[in-house]
Amino acid sequence: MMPKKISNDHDAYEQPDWLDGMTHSNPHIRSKAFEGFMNAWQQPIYFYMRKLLVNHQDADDASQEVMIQVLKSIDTFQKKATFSTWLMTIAYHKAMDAMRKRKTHSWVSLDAANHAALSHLNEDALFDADEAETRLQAAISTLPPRQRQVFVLRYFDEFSFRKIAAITGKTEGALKASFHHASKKIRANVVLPA
Amino acid sequence: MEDMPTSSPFNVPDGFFDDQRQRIRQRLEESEKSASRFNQPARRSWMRAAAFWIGIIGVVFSVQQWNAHAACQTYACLLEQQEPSLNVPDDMLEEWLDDGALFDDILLDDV
Repeated sequence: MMPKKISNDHDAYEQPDWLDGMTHSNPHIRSKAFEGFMNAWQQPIYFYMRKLLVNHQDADDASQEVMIQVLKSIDTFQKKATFSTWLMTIAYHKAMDAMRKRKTHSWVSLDAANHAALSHLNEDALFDADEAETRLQAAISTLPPRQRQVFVLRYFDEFSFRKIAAITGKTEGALKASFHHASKKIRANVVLPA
Repeated sequence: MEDMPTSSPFNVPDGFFDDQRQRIRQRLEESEKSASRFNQPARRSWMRAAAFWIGIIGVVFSVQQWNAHAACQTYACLLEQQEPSLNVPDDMLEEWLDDGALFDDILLDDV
């Protein structure tokens, strides 16, 4: 299955036609808007969480929490930011919470953590990849939470640093440094033995 | 990084997205129901009335407490406002104070 990527194309999501319907008093219009929202965002949010958390159940729980929060608090969205930035800010914080909950012990070496991640991926029935992809995902899962998020948003979803800064509330310079450190660690793990 | 894969190797169980959508819809409906139960007009007006009376009682109690202490500038004043812990009638007190045995015989003997 080819997952939907979070669109970085501003025109695609900035003014979704279902957005106003989500707060409409008519339940039929609200229901249609719900379907529109889910069609656009359910898979991107799930796969965003999956890339960060790896485990299907964790990604299911976290993505569900994001969508529930978005739908419950849609009337507080003031359109100062774009809808996608607002939604991704919620997703970023939920993902951060989920990763911190499962934080590995700091005394585990990077090699040991990478080895554990590799064996988890190889045992995962819902993970289907060649060796290079498996090593890449294992390396991503050993990154610290913020570096992991920046790497996923930049590398997989091709977000601009400006957009990532709006989502995370960090400066572009700090994010570029995070991405640089993350890329370096990943390169070191992904290089296949000769 | 050009040679690194960008496709996703993650799969989901069959029907997962329909199932998740259904669960989200259910959770929203449940929270809407509980919110509307809380927001029923009768319940809302009853809660407003309760909040109003609790507020009034609180204000009256605070004003009473404040008045009781506001006029006092000295400890003697505060002491007078205390309820006496032992009720001794004035005539008994006078009789006791006039008791020569206490003041003359017992106390003065010790001096």
